[in-house]
Amino acid sequence: MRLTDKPNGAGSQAQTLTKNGKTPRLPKPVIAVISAAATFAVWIIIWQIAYANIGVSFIFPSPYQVLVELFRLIPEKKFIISVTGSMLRVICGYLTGIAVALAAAFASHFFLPLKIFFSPFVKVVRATPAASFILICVLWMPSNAVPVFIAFLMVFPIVYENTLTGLSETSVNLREVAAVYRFSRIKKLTLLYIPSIAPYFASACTTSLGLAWKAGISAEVLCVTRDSVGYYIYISKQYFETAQLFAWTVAIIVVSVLLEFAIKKSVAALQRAVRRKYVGN
Amino acid sequence: MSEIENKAIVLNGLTKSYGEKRVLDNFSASFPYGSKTVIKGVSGCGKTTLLRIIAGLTLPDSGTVTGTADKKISVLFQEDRLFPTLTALGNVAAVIQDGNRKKIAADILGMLGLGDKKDLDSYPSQLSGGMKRRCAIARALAYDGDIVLLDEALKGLDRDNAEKCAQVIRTFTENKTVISVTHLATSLEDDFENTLIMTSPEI
Repeated sequence: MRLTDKPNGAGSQAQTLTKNGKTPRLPKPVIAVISAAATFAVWIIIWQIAYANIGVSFIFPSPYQVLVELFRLIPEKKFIISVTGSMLRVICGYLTGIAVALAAAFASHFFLPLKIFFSPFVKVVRATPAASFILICVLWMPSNAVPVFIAFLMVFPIVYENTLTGLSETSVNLREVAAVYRFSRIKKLTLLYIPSIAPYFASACTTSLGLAWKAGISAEVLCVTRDSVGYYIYISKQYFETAQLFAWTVAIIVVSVLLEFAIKKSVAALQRAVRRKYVGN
Repeated sequence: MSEIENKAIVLNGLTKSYGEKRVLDNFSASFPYGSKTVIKGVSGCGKTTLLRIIAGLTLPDSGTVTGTADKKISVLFQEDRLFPTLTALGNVAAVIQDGNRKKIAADILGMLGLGDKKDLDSYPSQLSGGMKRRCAIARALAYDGDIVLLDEALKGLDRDNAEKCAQVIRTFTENKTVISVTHLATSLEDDFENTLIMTSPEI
């Protein structure tokens, strides 16, 4: 029923409200975009004011200078090579971390001595600053392998612990149902364990990606890994190319946001696929 | 193995305590294969524990259970225990091992009044309490166990649905060993040949 078609009752109430100056609300996505743009604009203004007060470009460049530098970098071959290289290194460590952590969590859940074995390792990795690991690792492995290993170290404890939590919260009642009806291992995995760990695993994947990316870039800076974003950040800092340093940082943020978006979508698609294939009848 | 142990589920001297509370004290009974037994008793007297021990889900502190090792056991738990990620149809089909699983599951659900596509495709969170119970009953029947253990089978069902379910359970469990525990008499157990009254060991 369209309210405005009715001459009386609720329809006229709606028309009266419009006459009184109350306009219909904008759609939520539009409000979200306007809100995000306004917030972004406010921070750019704050940045510009800070630049105007400091007044020294090589210490604190303006938003415009950074934007110009960024657009100068983007078409360059080194930009594509370094961004792609950094992404590949971090994603490689990230995916390896997820795979190893998943396997370790499942093994630990069903075999207590392994859980005890992994416990100090996980605690030490969580408590140790990434910089310490980076500086130690650079002594042991080639500089382009360090970011991979550091990304792995950032991801492993988060995915391991979250997966263990999900496994420990598997419903005892449903486990008994599975036992009584003699479910196969694959059926137990898909009906009991995957649904139980799914929210914890998805959260761990998105949380650890940001950490892996930041730690991976830090490793590239400290190890001066060739053909990497970290390498060019290091060079920019050495030559006081502050606007360039900011531009690389902006690129890192953009890539990080895109990666996080891609991972969220991938995890959601994976969950849907698992549900369709195994639990969606 | 004695002759009776080849023809019956035999419980011998079962004792079970939860902390200080003893729920079974040297309990012995036998349930001939193909017999139907209703176990009655007040809440907390150990009926459910007894079913769990027969199903192999709980170990007794002492005593033995024989005659169940090579048998398929269907259990209708007191709680519905449906898989939340599966639809009604999926929950029932999940326990069927051979044949056209979906067709068999849909047929059994249909007999219990859940044959509409909307009901079959509903997830447990979308079903009413009575519908969930009927789905759980359908699952227990679909497994086609040699031994069927029913814990408060018709709990939460209105009279019409309870009668319908009782009829379907009777049809599906013909010639099977059925042990049904309840603290309230229902129409399901009307024609059961054995009745066992349990009392709490502490009383």
